[in-house]
Amino acid sequence: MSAEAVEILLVEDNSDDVELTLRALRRHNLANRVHVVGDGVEALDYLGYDEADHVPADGYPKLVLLDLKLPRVDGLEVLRRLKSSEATKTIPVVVLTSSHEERDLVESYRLGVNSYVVKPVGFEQFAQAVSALGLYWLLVNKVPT
Amino acid sequence: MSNDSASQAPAGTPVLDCSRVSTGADQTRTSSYGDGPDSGLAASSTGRHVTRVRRAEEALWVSEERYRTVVDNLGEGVVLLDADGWIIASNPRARAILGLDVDEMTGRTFFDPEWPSVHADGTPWPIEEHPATIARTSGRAVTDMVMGITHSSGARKWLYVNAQPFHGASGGVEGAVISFADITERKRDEDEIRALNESLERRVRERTADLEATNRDLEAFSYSVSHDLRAPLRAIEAFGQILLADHADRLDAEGIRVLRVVLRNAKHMGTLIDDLLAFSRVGRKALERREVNMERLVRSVVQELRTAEPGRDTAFRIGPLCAVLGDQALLRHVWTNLLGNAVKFTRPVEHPEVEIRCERVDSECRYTVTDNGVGFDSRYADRLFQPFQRLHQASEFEGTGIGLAIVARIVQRHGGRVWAEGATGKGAVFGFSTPQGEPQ
Repeated sequence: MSAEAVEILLVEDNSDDVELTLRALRRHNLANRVHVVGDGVEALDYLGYDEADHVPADGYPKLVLLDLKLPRVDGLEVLRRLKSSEATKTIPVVVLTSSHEERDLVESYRLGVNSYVVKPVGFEQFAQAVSALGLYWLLVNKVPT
Repeated sequence: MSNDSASQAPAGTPVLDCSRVSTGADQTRTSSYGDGPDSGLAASSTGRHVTRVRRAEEALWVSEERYRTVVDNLGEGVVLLDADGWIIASNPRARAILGLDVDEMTGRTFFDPEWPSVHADGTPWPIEEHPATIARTSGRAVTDMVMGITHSSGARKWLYVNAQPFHGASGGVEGAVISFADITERKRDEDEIRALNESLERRVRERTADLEATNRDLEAFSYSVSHDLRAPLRAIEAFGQILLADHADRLDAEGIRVLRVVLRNAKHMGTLIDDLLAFSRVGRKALERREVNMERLVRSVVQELRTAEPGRDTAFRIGPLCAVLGDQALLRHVWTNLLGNAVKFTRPVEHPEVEIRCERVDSECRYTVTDNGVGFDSRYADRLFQPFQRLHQASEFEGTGIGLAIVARIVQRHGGRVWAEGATGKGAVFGFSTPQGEPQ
């Protein structure tokens, strides 16, 4: 973490994918505003899910990049809790996952995900997708303050 | 009628024992007009009277004979009861069914405690609810009853029972006629069929559960493949690219070439995984049966292909195509593969043409895709629809060889067939049929 406010919460257990994602975000200078957690429990803890009136020290992130296959609490469960809590339901959540199984798509949208992106296998495409995401959700898209 | 039966019935009760016949021929009648002064004249009128009486008696006897013959030879057992339930008559069939002789039958009531009866489920049949009881006490007929009784041998027998009251001249109920058929065999057969059906249904349920378990295993496997294999593959490709992009200056030309080989193979592996998943999904997906507008589907696929390769101007000719009953999503795969192939293999041709036709023959719809592309060596035609088999080298045309296998599988699931004709350098025709009725 750095002095800059955390704008992106990256929930990803695969350290190689973390590295690739940060590389891609670096293209638009978004990499130093990322907080990384390795599983669903850490994600929920960071957002203060179980504690009333807890607000993260660096404020709520402007975007959550969420992988689905996570140890302990999985991505869909994190999504469900984020979208059902008053404090966090307005934060845009983008699922970034290898799975393009129909049931994951259906369930994610049912739970209120803002966007669902399948990680391209090719790195260049992956990098483009991630940097486009960062650009769009942080700079183009508007959220209530 | 003379009362010469040896019945133990209470005195005064008319006996209709069908096993014995009271023949009018045994009787003699003496005319009361026999002696006397008018006997001559009287004799003749008496004679006529006697003749008339005799004829009436004979007619009655014949009529009774007839009825007796009918009753004696019925396939059903018939038993007569009086108003109190005593058995006053029975036919041979009744005795045969019950395994009793005349002496055992007569002088008993139908609800003798030695003859308990049961319902089809084995529960006891109370005497008050016995068809015979209802018929003779309330005057109501009771029909179509299935009763279990015990044969004299001890065996269980099943009877199909009807009970009809019969009324006397005064209008009151004087007894009942019970007729019954032996349905022991039939009931046994029915029970056996029911048991077989149940066992069959149970086996079907077990088999279905097995298949569902297998399908779930396959699904879990595919899901795992889709996620778990892709992640390391992405890392291989990505970090290889990074090496190439950021550290090429530390590699010599051969090093770079080798690196590119690694990357190319990683990419190919990604395509194989995608194709494998698509192939497995085809087998797993539940087949929907709805009317599919093939013309609209084909036009949509053609539009997609045009958008994907805007530089290429393939001429598509689409003839009228019959609609079919099937799964739209899967049929879309069929067209995407066949038309995509046609576009791919006409790439070296200057004026690529693809024609799509449909012919209705017998009870099937035959669709064909004809192109003027590079064709294929028909000696190897049987390999075309097998998974991962190719008739062209990767350097000539890209592909993993799964597309046609997917087409074949989908068409097969719809109950149709696939075929292909071609010659090297002379284009190709690919076709598939769908039966006109319901797909499997």
